[in-house]
Amino acid sequence: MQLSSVFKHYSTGAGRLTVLRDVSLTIAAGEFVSVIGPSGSGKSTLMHILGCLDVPSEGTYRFQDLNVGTLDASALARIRNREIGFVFQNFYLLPRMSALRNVELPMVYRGVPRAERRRRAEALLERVGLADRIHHLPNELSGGQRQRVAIARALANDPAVILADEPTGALDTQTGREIMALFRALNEQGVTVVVITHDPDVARTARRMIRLVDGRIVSDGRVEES
Amino acid sequence: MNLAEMVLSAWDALRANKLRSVLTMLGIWIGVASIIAIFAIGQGGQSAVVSVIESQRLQRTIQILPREWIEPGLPQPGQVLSISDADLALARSFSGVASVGYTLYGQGPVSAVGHTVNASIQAGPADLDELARFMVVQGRMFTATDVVAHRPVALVSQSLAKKLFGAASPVGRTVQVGGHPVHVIGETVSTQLGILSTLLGADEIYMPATTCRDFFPWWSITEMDVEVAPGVDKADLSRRLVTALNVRAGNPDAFVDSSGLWTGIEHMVDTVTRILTWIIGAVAGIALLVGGVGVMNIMLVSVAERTQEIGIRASIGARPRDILAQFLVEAVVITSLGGVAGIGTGIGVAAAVRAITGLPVGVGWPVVIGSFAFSAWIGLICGLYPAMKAARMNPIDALRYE
Repeated sequence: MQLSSVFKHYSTGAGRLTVLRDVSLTIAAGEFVSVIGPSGSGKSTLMHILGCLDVPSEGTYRFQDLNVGTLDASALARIRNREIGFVFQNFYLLPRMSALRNVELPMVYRGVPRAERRRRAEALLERVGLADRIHHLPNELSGGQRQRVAIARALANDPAVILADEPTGALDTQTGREIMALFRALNEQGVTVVVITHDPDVARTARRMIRLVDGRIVSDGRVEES
Repeated sequence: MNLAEMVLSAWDALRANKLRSVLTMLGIWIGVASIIAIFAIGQGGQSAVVSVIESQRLQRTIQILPREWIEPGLPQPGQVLSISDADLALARSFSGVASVGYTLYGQGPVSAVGHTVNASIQAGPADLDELARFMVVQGRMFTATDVVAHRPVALVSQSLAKKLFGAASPVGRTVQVGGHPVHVIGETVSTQLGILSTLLGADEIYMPATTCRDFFPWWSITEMDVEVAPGVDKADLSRRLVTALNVRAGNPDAFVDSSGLWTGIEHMVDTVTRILTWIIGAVAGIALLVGGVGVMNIMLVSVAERTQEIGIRASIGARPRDILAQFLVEAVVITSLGGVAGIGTGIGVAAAVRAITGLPVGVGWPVVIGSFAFSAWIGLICGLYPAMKAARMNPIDALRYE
C-alpha cells in the first residue's frame, strides 16, 4: 500500500475543509502498523482511503499496483471484498444474522459456494475462539465476542490487510488486550494489520507506529519491544 | 450473490417486520384478488351466453314468428297471428330446407299432488331443448318417436318441480296438464341469458308439439323452426322464406325471423358483461397501482432504516449492483407474495360465486400467470427507485448513519 502526497478535502457549508495534508506512506505486506492521533487528526479518513471506502482528493494511492483513484465503485467494492478486512469500533455486525452468517457474508458477495463458505466460516470462528457461539445472534454475545466475530468476518476472504478502526474503543481494558493479542497472532501468521487508535497502549502493540496530527504525519517509526 | 441467496435474505428481512410486510402486501393482495375474481366471473358469464349462441342446432335454424308476437299493434287487415299448416308446407317445399318443425307457447294450469301452478307451456320437436334454450339435468329429453307417437310425456323446469314436488325428484311422476295426465320424464334448467334466467327461475313445462296440439287444439302455432341443410346460406334462405310467407299472407310485414333477435339480445348481454369486466378490472388495476405506491413508500422507509446495514454490506464488498439487487428482490418478493395470496383469494371468490349462482365461473391459467407476472412487475417498478437510492449511498456516510 502506497500513498503519495495524498490530500483529502471536504466541502462544507463554510468552505473547504482539508482533513489530510500531503500524506505519503508505504506499508509493506506483513507489517503491523498503528496509526495514532487525537480526534480530528484525520486518522479515520486515512483509514477510509487505505480501505478503498473513499478516494484521495489529490495525490495517488496505489494498492497492489492498482491506482485506486481511477477505479469505479464496483472495482473498489471488489478490492474491499477480497483484499481488505475491516474491524470497527462498533463491530458493525448485521443484527439479525447469526455469527456464522455474518462471517459468511463477505464470501456470499464473492460467490463462494455454500458448503465451502460454511466450512470456512466455522473454521474462522474457531480460530478466534468462538467455536461454541457460531449460531448466536450478535446481541447474545459480549462486546469482546462480537469483536471476535468481526475479526473472523474480516478474515473471511483471506485478505491481504486487516484495517481496524479503534477496535478496542468499545471494550474494557482486559478484553481490549485480548483483541490486540489476537491481531498480533494474526500478524505473526502473515496478515498485514493496520490499527487506528487514540490509545498509546494499544498503539504500542504494533511494530510500527505512525503519529498523525492535524492531517499530517508527524512521526513514523518502529515501536521498541517492551 | 445468486438469486436464491437474495430471495432467502429478502425473506429474512420481511420476516423481521412481519406486520409491516403483510400490510404492504395487502394492496397487491386485494388488487390481484379482485382482478382474478372479476375476470373469472366475467368470463363465466360470457361463456354461458356464448355457449347458447354457438349451439350447433341454433346456428342452422331459422325461427319464423308472426311479427305481431314480437311487436304487438292494433288489429289491421292482413294481420297474421299464427302459423298455419299451409305455411309449414310452403316452407317444406323450399330447397335447402332440411326439416320444418313448429313450436307452441301458452299458459296453462299444471297440477300434481294437490298443488296447481299456472305454468308456461312450450311444445315443439325433439330438439326443443336447443330451440327453447334449456338443458336436461335429470331424466331425458323427449325423442322424435315421442313426438310422432303423440306420447303424453313432459319435462318440467327446476322451479316448477320444486313447487309441485318439493325436494323430491319429479322424474317418473305424473302431472295434470289442462286436465290430461302427463308422465314427467325429465327436469330442466334454462340456458337462456345465463344469470337472468337462473335468478328468475321460470315455471316451465316442455312437451312434444303433437301431444300439446291434442290437449289444446285451439292454440295457434306461434313459431316455425326451419332447419337449414348443410352448405346453404341461412340468411339468404331466411329472406326468401319470409318473403314467400308474407306474399302468401298478402302482408309484407306478416312474418319475421326471430333468430336474429335472440342473438341481438345475447350480443348485448355479452357486450355489457365485457364492458363491466373491463370497468371493474380497471378499478382493480388502480387498486394494484395504489398498492404499488405503498410498496415504494415502505421500501423507501426500509432503505432509510437500514442505511447502516447498507454501509456494512458495502464495506465488506457488496457492489452497488448487489445492494440494488437486494432491495429489488425484496420488493419483488413482497409483491409476488401479495400476488400469490391474491390469486388464492380470487380463486376462492370465483368458486364461491360459482357455488351460489351456478355460472360456469372458472379461473384460467393465463389470468393466473398474468396476474402473478404483473404483481412481480409492480414490485420491480416500485422497488427500482428505493433500490437505486440504496445502491447510490456513499459507504462511509451510510456506515456512520445512526
